[in-house]
Amino acid sequence: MKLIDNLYHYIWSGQDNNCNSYLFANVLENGGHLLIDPGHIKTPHRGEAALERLLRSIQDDGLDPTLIGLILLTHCHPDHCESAFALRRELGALVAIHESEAAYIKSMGGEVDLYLKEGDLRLGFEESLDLRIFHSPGHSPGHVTIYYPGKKVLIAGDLVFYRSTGRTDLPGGSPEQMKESIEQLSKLDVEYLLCGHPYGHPGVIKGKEEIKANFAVVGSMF
Amino acid sequence: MVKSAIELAMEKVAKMPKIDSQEIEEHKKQEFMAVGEGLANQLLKGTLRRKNLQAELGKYDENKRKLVINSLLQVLKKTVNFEDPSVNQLVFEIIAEIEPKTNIEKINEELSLLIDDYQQQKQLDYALLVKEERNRLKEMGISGSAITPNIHETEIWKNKLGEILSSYQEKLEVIYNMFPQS
Repeated sequence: MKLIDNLYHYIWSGQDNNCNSYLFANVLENGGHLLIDPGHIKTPHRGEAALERLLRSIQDDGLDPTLIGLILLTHCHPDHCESAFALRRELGALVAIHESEAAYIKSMGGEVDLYLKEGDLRLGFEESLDLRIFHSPGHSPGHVTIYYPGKKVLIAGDLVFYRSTGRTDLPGGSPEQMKESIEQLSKLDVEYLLCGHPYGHPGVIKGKEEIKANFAVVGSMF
Repeated sequence: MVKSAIELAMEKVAKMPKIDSQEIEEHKKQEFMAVGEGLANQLLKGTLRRKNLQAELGKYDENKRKLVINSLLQVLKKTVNFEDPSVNQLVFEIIAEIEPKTNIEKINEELSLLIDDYQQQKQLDYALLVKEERNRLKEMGISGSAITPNIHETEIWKNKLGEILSSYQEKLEVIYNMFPQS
């Protein structure tokens, strides 16, 4: 579903666990798309066809899913990244993740084409899409978040949800780093906070004040 | 008349081609070379301690010992590599045990210089491929300081690495000549 301009959000609505996915349409050569966190292929417990649902939703929005050319992964947990390798194989899409998560990806049989680090990412040509990648560890060592300053959008992965945060007790997680990451991102000018999961809320939080309040709540947890 | 099993076996043996003395000699040679390989592998794995090597070699007369040492050294040469200095160190320690008069320091020095050279070449070539990949990505509409291409697993890098290794193999032969000659 379209959020703003060429940014689409796909809120997970199945019974099992899976992530929200986000797509910037027509930002690469030949109309290629950027997809963020494609999620599971099939969910682990109930076997819901998550990837199939995502691709169908993209198609329902009038977009060609076969034009996914770049996949950004906020982190390496399978509920965010499992589909990436199938899409890479089938569509030739490039997969990008923070270098410190690449070893885990490899252990799952995946390949990484691009390493991410904090910095600028420019997509497109004359009317380019300019993004800022932040290294936001805490949930995992190489967790990244994606900021789109043009429309004040923050794609937060599993860093923050509506009135909660991602876990810090998984391997490589760190409450101290989580706190620092939240503090850093809370200073950004954000109108749309796009979360990695629809926990208690779809995970698309709109409005500067609402987002500030959300950061205040999650910040106070540490 | 029914022949016994032994008679049948002897008939079969009689029909088999005769082995001449040269072949027998060659088989024995192979046998002792296998001993040398086995010793080398045990030393490298740590299942045979270096201080016990001379006792092992002492089991053989001079000629056989030469064969064993020769094949042991062949395995050690193949073990020398450009990526793992700790393995190379172990190889030198074993060589020092076989032939204490060997100038290990000199070999180590030469090899270290060669490895430094190799690593620099590798880095230069890798950086060049990364630059080429960045240009390709830019043509696709992907650029920025946040991304670094991962070339390590690509066929193009694996082939390039093979070329670099081949080019350094010749220089490595010079260092092999500094090993003890049995």
